[in-house]
Amino acid sequence: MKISLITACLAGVAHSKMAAVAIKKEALLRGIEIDVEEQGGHKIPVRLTQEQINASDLVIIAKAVSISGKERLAGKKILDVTVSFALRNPKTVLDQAIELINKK
Amino acid sequence: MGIGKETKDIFKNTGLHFRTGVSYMLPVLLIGGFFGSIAVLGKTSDAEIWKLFKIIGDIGLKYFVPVMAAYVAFSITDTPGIAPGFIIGILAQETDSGGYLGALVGGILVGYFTFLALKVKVPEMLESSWGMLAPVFSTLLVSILIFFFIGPPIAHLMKTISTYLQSIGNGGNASMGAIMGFFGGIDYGGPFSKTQSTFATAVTNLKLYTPLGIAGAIITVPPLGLCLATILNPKLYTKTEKNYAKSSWIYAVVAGFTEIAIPLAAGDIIRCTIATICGCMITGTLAGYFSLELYTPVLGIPQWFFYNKPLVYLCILIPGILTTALVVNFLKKISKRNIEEMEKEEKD
Repeated sequence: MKISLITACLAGVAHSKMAAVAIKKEALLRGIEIDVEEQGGHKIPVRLTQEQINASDLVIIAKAVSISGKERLAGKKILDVTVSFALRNPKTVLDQAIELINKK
Repeated sequence: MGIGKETKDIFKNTGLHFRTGVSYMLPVLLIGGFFGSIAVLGKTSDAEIWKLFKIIGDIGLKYFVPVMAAYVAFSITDTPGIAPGFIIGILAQETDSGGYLGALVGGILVGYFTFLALKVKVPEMLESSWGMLAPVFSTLLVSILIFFFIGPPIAHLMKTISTYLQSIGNGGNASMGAIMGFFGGIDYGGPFSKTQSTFATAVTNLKLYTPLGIAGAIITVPPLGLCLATILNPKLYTKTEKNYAKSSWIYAVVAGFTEIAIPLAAGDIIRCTIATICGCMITGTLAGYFSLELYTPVLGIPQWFFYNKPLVYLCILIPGILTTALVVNFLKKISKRNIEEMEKEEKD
């Protein structure tokens, strides 16, 4: 199983980072492969490539602001949550993600 | 999806669009603020370079308003919203049509009308050029709305607020600080805090900097107070909470986010909120009383360079943070949580 994660917050300094860390940790615990992109304040240090997105079963978007580069996600399964929810409940987010992947 | 539902979605997500606008606005402010403060250093010198810095500073601190409007519209309707958003934003600012708030309302409206215009079925002949024409019509419509109907009342309101705020003096500032502290401490960067900080940013447009000073001062009180509380009395906290506090207080100092307090408060929201309200009200009151002014809406370490009285800022933070920590520990002490059980749950 492979998941892409895009987090976005106001300044791209605290929230996006913290949510990314929380979800990544939880995903690694469960043995799920995960690629992370953090956005906010114009900063996209690691940009997910089209190949990475195509290869993943699902894209999780944890956002407090609109994300850029939406066109890359066309046709993918998307789980849309707020960044503060993802930060507090990484378990619930991944549960939902797995449920969504298994639902055909 | 029908138009009705999409419209509802757009307005339900107003907060998201607003935050997106602010997210793109911050770098502009930061650049402007940075150059503006360098220029102050070279005030006495006559060299051309300082003039250049001053000009760049003025540009940044002025044009963050249209950038915000443009990206609010962008968030609503993607790229077609940017151009009309810029134009409406500049209109609101240059023609006394409501300044920052006018630009915000204008950005939302122009984004929405561009979105609607793009939905219109046009004859095949026009179809290819409609993408270019739709923003023209939405700009026309919204510019009329802003200039004649929405801008003037907002401008009037801002003027009233401005005259009032200038007349209240230190005592009035202190009570304003208490009220802003109440809102800032109540929901950890949620809607109430954002209303308070939006208000503060909006009045900087009127050359009133005390509200922003207050807003800036109270931001880091909840996270630092709650983190400090875990150190003062570790027995009252679970392992996860202690570890989180240890690793996250630095984020609060560097980046200045109230939201960092959320994971600490989440397990025990009522007691923590009472404490953060007390702490924020104390810092807010003091900030108002000492007329602490912040010239640029930035967060974290950059703030230190834009306060009129950085030392006062540090001094008033301490009582607020201490109050938060002491009150939360006191409340937790008189009504104990079952730490062992919570730690057990976390392990599962």
